[in-house]
Amino acid sequence: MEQLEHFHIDPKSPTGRPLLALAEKLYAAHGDVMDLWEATTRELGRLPRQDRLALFNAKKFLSFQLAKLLDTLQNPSRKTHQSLRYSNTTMLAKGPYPTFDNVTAIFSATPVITRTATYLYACSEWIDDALQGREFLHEIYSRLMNPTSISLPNHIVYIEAGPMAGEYMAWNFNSGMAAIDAALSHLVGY
Amino acid sequence: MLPSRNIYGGAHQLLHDWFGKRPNLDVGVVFFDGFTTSDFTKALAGVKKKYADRLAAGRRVYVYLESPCNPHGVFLDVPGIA
Repeated sequence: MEQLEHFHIDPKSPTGRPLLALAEKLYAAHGDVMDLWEATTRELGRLPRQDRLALFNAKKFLSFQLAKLLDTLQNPSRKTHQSLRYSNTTMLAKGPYPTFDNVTAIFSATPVITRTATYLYACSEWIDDALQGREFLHEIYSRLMNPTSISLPNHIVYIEAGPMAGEYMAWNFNSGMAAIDAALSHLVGY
Repeated sequence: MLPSRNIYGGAHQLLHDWFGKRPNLDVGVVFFDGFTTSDFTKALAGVKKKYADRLAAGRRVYVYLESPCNPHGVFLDVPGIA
């Protein structure tokens, strides 16, 4: 309800009703995901391998279902965007909204090489959250972080640490000296 | 900081001129020569003595190694030192 109010949408209108129903389920689903995360952290060590395999497969299935939800949402979203009739100048500069076509990238069998410098935000408050480090979903600027530069060190951890991968994390830098300076400054800086 | 002497020139310059110099970060930096565990153990004892006051105040010793070393290609006894 709060979200609809934020965007000045009447929850009793024909489009407001399904939007409200979806938003409420998504909020509840997010709570369920957090519970699942907590329960997994607590219980994983006690589960036999067969159960851990089943859990992984079930979560993989859920991830695909979530992506499917997001992909389906792009249909009414694209229709609404097209109905706004932006000027030719705006459309030539911006093109179609990127999320319409990006969701299926999640299904790529190898990590997608991301060539963007900047990112989209749900609303201006999320930009503030991203800049304050409160919203980890959103990158700010590709010189700082980028989906490809997150994927690379995650793969390096598996190559370097193998079965100990869960104990490590890695960062990649554009030069060895940048990596050395960052690591040392983090440890011995004031 | 207790870095090996056998490191890349750029890393040496960073440690020596930026971290170590008093007008910059004024971090205690002692380079250790040699390649073996015993070379390192001797250097570590020297650092603990030289910077006893800082260590007592809660500062820590950080070791920086490169192996094989740039540019000479020599190897340090990394498992022993670690």
